[in-house]
Amino acid sequence: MSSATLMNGFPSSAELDALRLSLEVAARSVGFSLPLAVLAAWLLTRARFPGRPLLDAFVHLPLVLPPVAVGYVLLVLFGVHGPIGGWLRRTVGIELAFTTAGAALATAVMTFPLMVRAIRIALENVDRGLEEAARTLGAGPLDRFATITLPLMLPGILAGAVTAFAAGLGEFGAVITFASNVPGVTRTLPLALYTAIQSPGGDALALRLAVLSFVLGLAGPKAAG
Amino acid sequence: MFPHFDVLGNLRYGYKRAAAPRAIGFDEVIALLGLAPLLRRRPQQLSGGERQRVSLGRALLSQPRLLLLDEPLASLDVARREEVLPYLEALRDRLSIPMVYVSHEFEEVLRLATHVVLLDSGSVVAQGTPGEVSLRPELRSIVGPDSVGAVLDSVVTKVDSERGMADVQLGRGTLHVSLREAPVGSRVRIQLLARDIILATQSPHALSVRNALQGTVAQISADTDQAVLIEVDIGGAIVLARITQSAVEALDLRVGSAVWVLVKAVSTRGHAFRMPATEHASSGDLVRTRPGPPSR
Repeated sequence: MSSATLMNGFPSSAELDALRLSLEVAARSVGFSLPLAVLAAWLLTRARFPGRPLLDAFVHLPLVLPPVAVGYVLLVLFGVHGPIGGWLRRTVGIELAFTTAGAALATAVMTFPLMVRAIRIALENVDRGLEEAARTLGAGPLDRFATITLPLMLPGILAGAVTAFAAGLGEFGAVITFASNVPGVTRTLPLALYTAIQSPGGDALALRLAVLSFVLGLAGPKAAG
Repeated sequence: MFPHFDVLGNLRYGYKRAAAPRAIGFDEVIALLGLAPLLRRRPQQLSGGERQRVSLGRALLSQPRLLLLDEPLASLDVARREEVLPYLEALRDRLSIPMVYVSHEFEEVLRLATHVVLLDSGSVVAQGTPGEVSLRPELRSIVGPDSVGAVLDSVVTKVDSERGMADVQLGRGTLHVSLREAPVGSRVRIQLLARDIILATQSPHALSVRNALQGTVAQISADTDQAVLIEVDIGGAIVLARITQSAVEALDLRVGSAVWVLVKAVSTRGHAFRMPATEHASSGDLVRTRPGPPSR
């Protein structure tokens, strides 16, 4: 097999679909988790409440659990007959299992610890003295957060979002377990790559998808600055 | 200073949130503290003195009823202090906001205070006008022997702007001092360091010393090892002089002795001091402390 035939018609529409889906899932997962990650980081850094160590452990759980286990737990909770999934379907008419939104949810859960970590470090580095100064100048708690704390931790929030987005592009185990491997719906780049490897004669496609992943991995950080 | 705002943003932060009516105007503060050239700068681009001025402006614009300044110049070197002090004097003279100023530097207290509370290890040991406190023995152990000296509030009677000198009224006599930018009739504050004062029992002549004030010895007290502190009444005002024990014996000084107080004009420095119109309602209070266990 020559390299000319290998790269013939590259990228195909299926490959583009997988690429587009990966980007969409990663972007939606960041959109989901960013506000929650800021809240979690704030609770873990600033708030004093009894369940704090528990929350800390819970937030970091996806980092240590097998991704398939996370996907399975999501399936149990958010599946069509699960306690949360069933309720969502009945009240708002949203189904998450086996949908693109579901893939984004699984990705969000998996990348959540990375995001919280980055934001938390940024929040810890915000000078409390500046918030105190704002208080003496008449700013209330929400006012202080919006005008002082949030702008000062913005670089950390951006770093967290970029890291989570990059990691989300390649999320595999939780996505395939919770959202399955539906072409054009949940078959992201890594899932397409896996499918190609499993199919007889799919070597060429697998190689091309791998090349696409490499290009994305190298171009992404460049584009993010 | 908020690093993510420029100077203007920092100044407006408190101003916007202050309840109306705003007695202290935005333009007034900018003029008073000379902030106009700094408005578009970032806090990182300011010198230490400029930062303190902007911080002061921001605090003022939040319309405080009282200003608590806790060693505002402590982080600055001597040159920067000299740059900020005139602005603090301007605040004292132009705004009717009481200021509580905490400092370890007697020089700053001298230039700014209308009332001094002396704290030692967390308790009040003396208080009064700077003139009164300057004579108190409690002050001596705090400021050290080289800073001991009478502080006198007075009025300019004659100005020699060419030489940068002025005559000020002191007791019955007149003192010739280095003083700039203070017109006739304005109030000044002068410190006469005890170590710079010479006492004579006869009218001096053929000396380079420009000032000779007539007075009587009011009190003699022990000071450092070989020296004594002599309080001389020069007609309603007291001057402190440090001389040696042997000089006291040689001149036969005792309470009631008539003496001449000799002061080198160059060793005195006056500070223009425009007292606020309503002296008590808006007087600046200064507190001088010495490090000690916290009083809380």
